[in-house]
Order: sequence, then C-alpha cells, then structure tokens
Amino acid sequence: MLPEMTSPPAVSSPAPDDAEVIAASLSDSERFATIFDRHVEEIHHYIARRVGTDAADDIVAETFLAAFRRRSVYDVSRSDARPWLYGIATTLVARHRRSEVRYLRALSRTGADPLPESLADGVVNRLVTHDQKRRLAGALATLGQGDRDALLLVVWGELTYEETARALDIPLGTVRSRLNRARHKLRARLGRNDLTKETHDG
Amino acid sequence: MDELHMLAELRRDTPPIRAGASGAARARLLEEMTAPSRSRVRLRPIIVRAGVVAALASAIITAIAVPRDTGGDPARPGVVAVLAGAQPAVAAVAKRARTAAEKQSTEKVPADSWTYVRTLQRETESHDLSDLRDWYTADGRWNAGVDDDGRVTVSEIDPERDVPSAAFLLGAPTEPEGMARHVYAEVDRIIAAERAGGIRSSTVDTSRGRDVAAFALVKEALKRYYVTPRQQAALYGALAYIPGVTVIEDVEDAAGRHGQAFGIIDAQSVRSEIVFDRRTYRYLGSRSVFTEDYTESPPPPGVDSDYDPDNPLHFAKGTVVELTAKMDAAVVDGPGQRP
Repeated sequence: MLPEMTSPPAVSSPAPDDAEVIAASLSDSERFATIFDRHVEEIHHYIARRVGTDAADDIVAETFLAAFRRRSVYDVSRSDARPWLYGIATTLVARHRRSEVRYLRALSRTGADPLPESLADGVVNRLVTHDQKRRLAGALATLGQGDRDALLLVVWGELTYEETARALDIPLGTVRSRLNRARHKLRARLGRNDLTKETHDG
Repeated sequence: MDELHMLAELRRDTPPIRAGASGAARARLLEEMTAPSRSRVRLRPIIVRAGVVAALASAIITAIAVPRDTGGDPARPGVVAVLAGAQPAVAAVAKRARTAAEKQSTEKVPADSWTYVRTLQRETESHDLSDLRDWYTADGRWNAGVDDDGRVTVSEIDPERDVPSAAFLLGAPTEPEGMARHVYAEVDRIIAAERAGGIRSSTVDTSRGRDVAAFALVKEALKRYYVTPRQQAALYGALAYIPGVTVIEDVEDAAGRHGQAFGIIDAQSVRSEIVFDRRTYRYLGSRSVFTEDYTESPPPPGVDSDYDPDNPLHFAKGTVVELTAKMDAAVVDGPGQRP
C-alpha cells in the first residue's frame, strides 16, 4: 500500500518507475517498500539458483536492506532498478562462494542437485540430459567468481551486457572478456566425455 | 543446444520465495525504515560460526599449548589485545629471510606507482592452469587488466570490494612484531566492517577464527601484490606470532617448483600453505590441502549452515583445493606494461 501522495494522482497516470520511487523514498522512506514488492521474487529466484533457497532467504533480505541504505546514491536516470539490485545481490552471493561451489560440485559428482525440491524436474531433464547437467555444473564450479557472476547475470538475470557492467561496476569490455572466457570454458568442458578424470575426489 | 541455452535451463525450476520468507524479509526492511538510527549492530551468523570453528580447531591442532583466538576487540579496530609469543621455528626462517633481504638495497614503492603480478592458478576441478596478469597501483586505488583483444582497461577500485587492498602493504612495518600487529589490526577492521555491512567482497575468510584469518591475510598479500623483500621478511616474521603456524619441509607450487612452506590447519582439516624458496626465501606460491579424510558433520543446533545430511561434503586426505604460483612481480611504468 503506497503512503499518501502530496497531490491525488490522476486516474490514468502510470505507476511511478523505480527511479521515481527511490527518489521519493529519500524523504519518505516507506516508499521503498514498493521496490521490494516489485522485485523480491525475481531477485530471490536468481539468488536461490546460485546458493539454494535457504541461504537465498537471508541474502535477499540483506540485498534489500543494503539497497535501502544506499538509495541516496542510486542513479535516478535509470528507471529500472533491477541491474542495481542484481549487483547488490551478486556481491552478497560472493560471500557464500563456498556454498555455491559446494552445490555445483555435488551436482557435478552425483548428478543429484542438492538444491531443495524441484517443482518440475522432468522438464529440465528433457532439455538437458543428466550427464550434460553434471558437466555443466562442474564447469560452472571451476569458473572464477567474476566470470561466473557476469555469466549468470546475463543468462539467469537476463541483463544486457551494459546492465551487467553497471551491476558489477566493471567496464563493458571486461564483461565481454569475462563472458568470452566463461563460454570458452563451458564449451571445453561440455565437449569432453570422460568425467572420471575430472572429478578429483571421486 | 549450445552452452548458454543449457545453462538457461539449469535450475530454472527453482521454487519461488516462500510467503513466510518474503514476509520476514519485508518486515526486516520496514524495521530498518522506521529505525531511528543505523548504528545498531546485528550479530551475523558468521560470528557464531567463527566461535564454533575455533572450538573445533582446538580439538584438531593438539600441538598448540593454548589453542585459542588471541582476543582483540572488533569494536575497536587497530587495538590488538594480546599478541601471542613468537614461535621459534617460524621466527628463525623469517630472520634468515630478513638477512637475505638486507643484502639488497632498501626499496621504497611510491603510492601512485603501477605494479604487475603474473600468477599461475591450477583450477581445482578441471585442473586447467590459468595464467593471470594483473596490474595495481601500490595505494590500491586503481587496477588494470588486458582483455582478449589486447585492450588495457583501468578501473577505480571500490575499497568495499577489494579486501585485502594493496594499500595494506603501503607503509606497513618492516619488522615482525610491528607487522603482526598491523596484520591483526587489519583482520579486526575487516571483521568489524563485515558486521557493519561495509565489505561487499573479501578473499580473507573470517569465518574460521581470527588466527586463520590473519594467516589468510598474509597469504593473500603475498599472492596478489608486489611485496618488497623486507616486507616479505616481515610478513614471514608476523606468521611466527600466529598460533598454529608451522614450517613444512617440501611443497610444490603450481609451476612445479619445490620449496618449504608455512602452514596453518583450519577446522575442516585443510592446511593453508605459503610456499617459499628454501635458499632465497622468495615467496613462490600458495596451496591448500586436506590433511585428513574430511566428511562434513552436522552443525550444532542453532547454527546456520548449508549442511545436507543426504549428501555431506567429502574430501579425501591429500586433495589439493588451491594451487598457485607467483611467476612475476615488479614495479612497472604503467598499466598494461610488463617488466
């Protein structure tokens, strides 16, 4: 529920965009709840795909707290706050790097994704075979954190290269080179057949 | 299907946020909005874990007489409560490194100078060897990289994202005890900043106790940055003040070079190692290795953890989980330049 506005909005006026809401939240902090309501599901889904739903519950809360505390430096020329939120979420995920790599390794070794209750496992298995999934997870685990961040923001967050650069606070050229490197690695690993050599402790 | 399409499908069916979790997150946000000040310190789960880990470590590392953290007060960064006594074996190596360093001219690195570091890194799963080239200014304000097309990109470093910073070495003490205090003060600063939400990315893991974090800080500084011979000797000397650090005889770095190493074992039975040349004492590289078969055990009740009883994490003794080699480090003329 939005707090009262200073003047009654016209019936047909469009909802204020993220930048307008964030600007308004500087004087009326509770307006920021709108940003939470608009984006919490999407940001949570991205985090949960990376570190599991349990850790994601906490990280998503931290993400919006951090965003709220930093709202005064938000670039109000950006009407969509998603790249900004993805950037904050990504840096918080980085603190959980151990659990992320652990998830990926477990999937790579056993083929069983330790992320809790899949809703429609069959759909994924039809599209991606078991072996490919294992290899893909194994390959993801070997990427550097920066490369994985850029790759997953583009593929899972569906951000553009420019939005990814803004989210990670890195130059556009760096996003390109990180994605090149990440794709190259994934391709190399997916092309290989002998998994036994790759699982170190298997 | 190409790799990006496959990746787009991976875990696409992750369930949406539960209403309870969403409501709790929203309530925390509302509480923050209506709070009179932001100075409240929330005790993060990581701090709880640090205590548990320290307790576990004491059970494993029996060689230490009093296996405990050396105290310190994260609320007062820079104040080191107690510095443990220096361990003779580590101190002796550091002293010889100091003697070797004194044969070279004293070097002063200006704050705005560019430094270059080339590192080989063995990836743990694929066993690929990555060849990494990085440039930093000595004050930790700027870094640079060269992309696949040979373009040099210079970026300003966000201090919240770059921990430890190269600035940690700038003007750092060149004698062991002073360096040890400098190291613990920085660890306490990192812990305090993490609690206050002022650090967004760090390679110093503080969740395994203050001493393991102090070792990690020294290791990261040696691994990532240009270090003068005297600072290097002082960093080795600082290790003597960290309880649990030992000297290991023969360790091989990512480039296949053999040397001695300093090591410390954490609660997961992982020994973190700093490898150095046994004659010149030059830092060679880093390694982390499981010293025992390790199977994750359930966390104590009430401790936040990602433990999965159906699939506990397992590593065989001898599994190497980190292997690097510092191939080159120098002060250079500018970003993208090599010595």
